[in-house]
Amino acid sequence: MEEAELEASLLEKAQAGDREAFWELAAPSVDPIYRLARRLMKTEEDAEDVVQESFLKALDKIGEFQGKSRFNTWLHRIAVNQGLMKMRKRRSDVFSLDAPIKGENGDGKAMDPIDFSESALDELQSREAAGVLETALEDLPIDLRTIVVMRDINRLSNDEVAQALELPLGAVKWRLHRARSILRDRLGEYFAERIGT
Amino acid sequence: MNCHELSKELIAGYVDLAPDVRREIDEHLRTCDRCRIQIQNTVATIRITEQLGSTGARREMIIRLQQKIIRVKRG
Ligand SMILES: [Zn+2]
Repeated sequence: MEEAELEASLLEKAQAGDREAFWELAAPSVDPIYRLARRLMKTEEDAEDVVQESFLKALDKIGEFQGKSRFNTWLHRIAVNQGLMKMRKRRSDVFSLDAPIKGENGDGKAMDPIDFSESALDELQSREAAGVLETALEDLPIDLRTIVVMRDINRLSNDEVAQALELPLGAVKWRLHRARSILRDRLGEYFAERIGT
Repeated sequence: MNCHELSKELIAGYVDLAPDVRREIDEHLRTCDRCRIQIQNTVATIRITEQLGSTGARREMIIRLQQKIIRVKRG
């Protein structure tokens, strides 16, 4: 059976109240939703809570899901909303979205970039770079961070990200480009120190 | 195509570029080290970001979630 067909048939069963079918439909999304939640929330505990709450919410609202997007995309949408809700409860400062962004050197013309693409292919260096990237990701404003996690870590398509966030496709592409540029410049700073200029 | 136009094209599409736009970009990259390096670095950045997708949720949490899903009362 085709993936889309399988999803449709599981969805039909899940909407008829079949919990096993719901789990079969939902289980592949647990890891991606966790990866998203972990990078939205400050603590592991909150991240796990967001995952649990998102799936229970999806179970509760399964009757309303019309299958216009993939189920995984719909879950991403729910998880973002659950995460934002919890952040509001925590009264954290995540909504100061216009705070200056670390690693962003203006229009990117301040200095000549060093070429780190070769070094990044090296296994050890790329593992270290992944650590640097994780920190840089944490420093991104939440709207950009969410898009990078969905697109580059969870491998949703641009269209799926746009559906999940109810944003126009152009806005997704622009933010993605901005986010990737900021991350690239942060890695650039890291590699400049390592391999020298 | 100049550096500025190139960056605008990349913002608009990056990987899903039309062949003729791609050709113009390639032409620019032959003469502009700066843009070429930025693109190579961006591609490398995306590759490293993708590596972060190999992690997942704790096994115990998944099992707990599964049990909740199967047993929870509706309504
Ligand atoms: Zn150029």
